Amino acid sequence: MLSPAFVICWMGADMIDAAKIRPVLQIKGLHKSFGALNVTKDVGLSVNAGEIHALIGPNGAGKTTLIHQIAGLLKPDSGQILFEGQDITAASMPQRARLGLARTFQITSIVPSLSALGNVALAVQAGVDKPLGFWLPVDSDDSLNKPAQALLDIVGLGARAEVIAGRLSHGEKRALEIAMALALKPRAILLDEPMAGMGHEESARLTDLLKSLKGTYAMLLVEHDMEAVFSLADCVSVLVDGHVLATGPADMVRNDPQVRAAYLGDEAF
Amino acid sequence: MSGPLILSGKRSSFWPVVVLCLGLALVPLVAVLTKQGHWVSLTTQMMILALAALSLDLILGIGGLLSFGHAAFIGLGAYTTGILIQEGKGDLFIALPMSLVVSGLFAFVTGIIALRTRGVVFIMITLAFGQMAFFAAQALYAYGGDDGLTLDGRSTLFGLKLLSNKIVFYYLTFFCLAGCLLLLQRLSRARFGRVLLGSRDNAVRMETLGYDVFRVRLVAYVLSGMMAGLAGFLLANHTEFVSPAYAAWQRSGDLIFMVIIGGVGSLWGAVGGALTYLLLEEGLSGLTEHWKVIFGPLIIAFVLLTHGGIEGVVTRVRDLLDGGRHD
Amino acid sequence: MSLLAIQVLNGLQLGLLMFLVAAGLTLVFGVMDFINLAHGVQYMMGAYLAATFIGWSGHFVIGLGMALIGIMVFGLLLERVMFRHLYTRSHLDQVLATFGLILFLNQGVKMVWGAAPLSVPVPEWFQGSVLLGDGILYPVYRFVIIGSGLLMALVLWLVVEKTRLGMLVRAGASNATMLSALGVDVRKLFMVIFAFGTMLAGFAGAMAAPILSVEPGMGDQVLILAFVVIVIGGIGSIRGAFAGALLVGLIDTLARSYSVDFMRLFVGPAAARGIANGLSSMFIYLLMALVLFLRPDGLFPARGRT
Repeated sequence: MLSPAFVICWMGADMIDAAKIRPVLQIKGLHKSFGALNVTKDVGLSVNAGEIHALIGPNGAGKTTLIHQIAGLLKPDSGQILFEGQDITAASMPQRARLGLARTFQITSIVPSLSALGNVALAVQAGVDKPLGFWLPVDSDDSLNKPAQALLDIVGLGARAEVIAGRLSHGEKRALEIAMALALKPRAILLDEPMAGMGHEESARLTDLLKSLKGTYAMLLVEHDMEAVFSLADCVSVLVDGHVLATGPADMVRNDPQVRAAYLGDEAF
Repeated sequence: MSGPLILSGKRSSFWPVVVLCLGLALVPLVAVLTKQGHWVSLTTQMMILALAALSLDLILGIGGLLSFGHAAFIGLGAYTTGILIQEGKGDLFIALPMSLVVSGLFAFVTGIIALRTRGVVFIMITLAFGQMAFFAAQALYAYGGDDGLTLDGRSTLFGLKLLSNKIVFYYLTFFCLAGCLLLLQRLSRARFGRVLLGSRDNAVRMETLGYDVFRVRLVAYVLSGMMAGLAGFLLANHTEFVSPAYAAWQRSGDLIFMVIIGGVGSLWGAVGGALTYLLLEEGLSGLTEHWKVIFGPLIIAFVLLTHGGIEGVVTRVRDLLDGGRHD
Repeated sequence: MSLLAIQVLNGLQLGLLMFLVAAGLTLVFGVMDFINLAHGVQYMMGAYLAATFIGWSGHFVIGLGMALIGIMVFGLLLERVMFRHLYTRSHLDQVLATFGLILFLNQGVKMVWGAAPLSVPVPEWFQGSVLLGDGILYPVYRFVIIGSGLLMALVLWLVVEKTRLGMLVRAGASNATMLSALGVDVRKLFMVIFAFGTMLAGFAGAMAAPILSVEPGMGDQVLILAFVVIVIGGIGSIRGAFAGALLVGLIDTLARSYSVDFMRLFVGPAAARGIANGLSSMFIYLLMALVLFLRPDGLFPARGRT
């Protein structure tokens, strides 16, 4: 059976336009170079509503650079980034976040001096009516804390809400980042190696979490853990040397001889 | 900034502030009863310094922005007040708002440029803007230039010379300080404070959450500049004198020292820091006219020996205190 | 026209002195990420040591040489006792500790040499003036300053561009963590850079001693101007420091001289000088603000620095 997601994942930008399908996130002809070094070469890919599109590739292939460009931390030299049909190529990071594009970082990025609950509440706060009030204490603000606690429960940190975030374990911090991303009520989430540095058990737990979130959010997942990638992704793109070598449903990419030769090797299977 | 400064929104600084305010409110009474009139004036001066240190603490302690030109705002407030008094428009309800407007405007314009930079460059730019204010004061030839300007008197209140009374002026200063303490105490624990704190720890993260970090910092910077401008207004009235030295970069250094010694980000600590500074100055200059020869090495020793600066000590102590609670 | 020539020469001379101070500062910033407020007092110490040794030996060159050795020893001593412990600290700690050092040294020289300015005679060889045409005379010694400043700049350029040490310094300025990855003894490199920077600042102070008054606090203003220079030029960049220093030197001198003339159109001479002094000093900071607004990384950012 061929679901629509699978079809889109094959298509080039012109075909998608012709078919009048609108992916949540669509990237067209993205280029970026640092001096003589081309780190992103004519990259195009799309992420459909409710599906996980995994981006794999060897170290140094330009995966994080690509995520940075989509999130707005780096500006591409040319190309286009469309979010729900809207061109966000020139938008700032905060603008993209407010439109509903959330992200997590490869290197854990939280506010270490606040509690776990405080971190998520801070993310919730970004979306409320008066995010910058001067007067009312934020600690006892249930309009922030209740949704934050609910999100912590979802990612399995419900019992750790009061712990100062800097003192959480590595795996807990990764989960906290995901809770912060979810707090933005995003339409799409960019996940930059969420399993990096995790033990087997922790990654399995995170894989289950992502599986449960699949269908609700469109996700672009950069990940080295192939087990996680192939159990989660609807669609896989292989990035080698800054350009997309192959895109397709997970099974097809897994068996693509070109991909096996360029990147996966045999040990991954 | 390396090493996170600690200011958790959770810890309440409410009671120390209340106790401090009550204590300060009683100073004139005690001074009159014990016939130590000069205490009133000395404490007034301490409170003005504390207000200036407090204003720096907002951006340095909570915001993590090391401004080395903070004395400029004091100078601007003081000169605005001084010039208005000399021109016969020194009424409290003209001079005070004007001081706030001028210092706030300067903070806004310089903030737009300075807050685009990070780290070392931010320190140097604020220092340079501070110097700009210093030289602007020196260029005010009609108002004393290099030598400064002795004022005809203090601000009036609807034409009445109420503020010339030591006790009245004491309480004016007291209410300014208490008001600012209350404001910052609320603000640091409110939504704005948390975003400012988050930007100090992890600015990129805050942007990916959708916060406009630049704008948040600019608001804090302007607020801090206005508060220092208020201190300048009080200083000009207290000393009945204005001088470019108010805006000198050494004053900015002194203010940083006060904030650090009191504990970065601890609001009542800024008051304690100002008090410590004044006591050190009084005590050391009683020993020798070259008191800075002792004061300088004291600062160095303080930094080197409290490994990681005072915030290191504060962190360790708090870690110990917290140990039982969280783990 | 001839006035302009003199002012340009004066500006060049100020710019080159500024460059000597700024070069050390920008390297220490760029390579070590260390904010050293005490760089200005090292300039002051250079001037005081020169004044002392020249007076004592009765000979300019011998005195200058002794002052240079003295300032180098002084710099190494400071590095060992204090600065070494600050490299890994936060900028806040560095600012505060070096601020304490400024207070100490400014007051210290006042105790040792007194508060009154010292004067250093212009060396005999370099007394007199050069005729520039139109009957305009320009002191020989100022040409000596310009010449030695240019010579130092050349030496510095050769060291930074052509030697292994220079390569390490450049690598460090664009990416400091790379140095330790390459197995360089970072501690030793820091010490060399620091001593070298101190020596340059001290040399500038010593050369300036005969034309400026040697007094406590003379380094403070120079320090802040040097900050402006390296912010304009781009942190960690020698080329930037050179361009920034000349720009600041020229603009400061020209603005000072012409704003006096300009203000005299409106007020009396004394007032004009007072106002112009402040205005022209402000001008430099406005220039800096403008440069930063247009190019936040300065005019010549060190390559590869982010």
